[in-house]
Amino acid sequence: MNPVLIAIIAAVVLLVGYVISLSNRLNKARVKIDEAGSDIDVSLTKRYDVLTKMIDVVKSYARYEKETIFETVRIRQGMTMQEKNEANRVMGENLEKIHILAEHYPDLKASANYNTLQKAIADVEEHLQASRRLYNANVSRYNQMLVAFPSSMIAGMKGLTKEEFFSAEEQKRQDVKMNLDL
Amino acid sequence: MDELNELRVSARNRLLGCIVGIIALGAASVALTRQPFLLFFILIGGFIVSTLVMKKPRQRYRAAFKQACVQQSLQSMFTDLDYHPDWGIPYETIAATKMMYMGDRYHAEDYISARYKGIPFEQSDVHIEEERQSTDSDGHTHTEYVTIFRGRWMIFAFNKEFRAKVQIAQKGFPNAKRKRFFGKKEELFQKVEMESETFNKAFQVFAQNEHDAFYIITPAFMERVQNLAAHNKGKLMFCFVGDRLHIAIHDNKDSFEPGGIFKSVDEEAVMQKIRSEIGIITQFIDELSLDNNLFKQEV
Repeated sequence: MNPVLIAIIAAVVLLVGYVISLSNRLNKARVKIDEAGSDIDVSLTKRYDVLTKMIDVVKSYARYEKETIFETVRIRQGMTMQEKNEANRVMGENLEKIHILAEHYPDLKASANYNTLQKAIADVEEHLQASRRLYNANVSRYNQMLVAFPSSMIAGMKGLTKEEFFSAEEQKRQDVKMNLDL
Repeated sequence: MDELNELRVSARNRLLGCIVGIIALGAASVALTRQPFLLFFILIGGFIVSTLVMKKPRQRYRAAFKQACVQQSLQSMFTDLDYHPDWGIPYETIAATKMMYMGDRYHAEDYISARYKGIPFEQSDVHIEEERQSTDSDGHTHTEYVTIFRGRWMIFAFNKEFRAKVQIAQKGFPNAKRKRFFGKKEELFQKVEMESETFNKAFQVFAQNEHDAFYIITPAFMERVQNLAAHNKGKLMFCFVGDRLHIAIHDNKDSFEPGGIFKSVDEEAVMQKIRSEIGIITQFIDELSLDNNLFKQEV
């Protein structure tokens, strides 16, 4: 067989192999983002559960507090990253309110229940931070692949787009209007 | 300290006596027989006899040093102290982590179990060797033992609860082992890339679960690990197993040992050396804030 033809076939095989390998790397990166996204769901759910318990504990103290209003949080499966960010922001605000309330009620702050839940929330937040960092590390690597040549070409052919990061705790503070019936 | 010096002087004098005896015997035998090759046998025999004669005095000196200096210093630093110079962390404890290649010969000593700032810990000097055989040109097989780990092994109660095993090994730490390719799926380790490039350059992280790796290794923790690596001459390995943190320092050092018998015991210098060796334990607890139990609770 013609050596030039062999070289061309070898080059084509290598090129196809390389393209498949790049495509697989992109697929794997996407799968890792999905897995890390599920990890965020788990952590958000845990945070929600502890927050609900905390609200139950402080509710009796807050009964006569006209200004302490907790915003409703909804956690469900299949939330977009924007929705997860929003749920996380709302939970952060509710926790902030609980802390402010505890400052006004020394009995509440000193209660064993409240302190146990405080420790639980610290741990849950640490888990959420871990999930966030893991997710964002995966998104960062994936997004870098989307802009770096030659993986950017494969990503373009597959129609892949950049993924959104999961934000750190929302810093913005705003007045939230709601009733106490959580 | 006077008693320690007396034991040292006694051991030194006995050794000097052996040396003088060997020289006198060698000189006399050569002078009387005019056979210089006898000197070779006298030297070999003298060395063996000296080793046997020196064994007990050395042991007494070493035991007295550990009792008078090491035990005393440990008592001043820790609570619930249990110190055994001749014991060590059991082989099985380290082997059970499945994160260290255990070689063919294991020796451990200077076992300490105590509490610092309320944190229970264990530590000992550990020496792991591997048997290697070679065959020379005459077809003779030679066996030798090569050190694969020598240094400290410390075990602390860790302040976070986690399920998966996680390992941080400083690049250059020898013989760290992970069961990566075989075993049940949940036992397999995967390489974890942390978000810090600086950290990834200096350390390798392996974990059974990426989430737990990120949960344990926070940005602050990474910084502390880097500080500890910068302040320790040996290579470090951190293994998180169950609710325990195992830390191995491979520095080829044997800690809590007395100096040579020809040098008088300088109390201040000796105590300073022991304090700095104890300081390695407290340094890890302090730097890693292991006494912060914020994350350990029962709900």
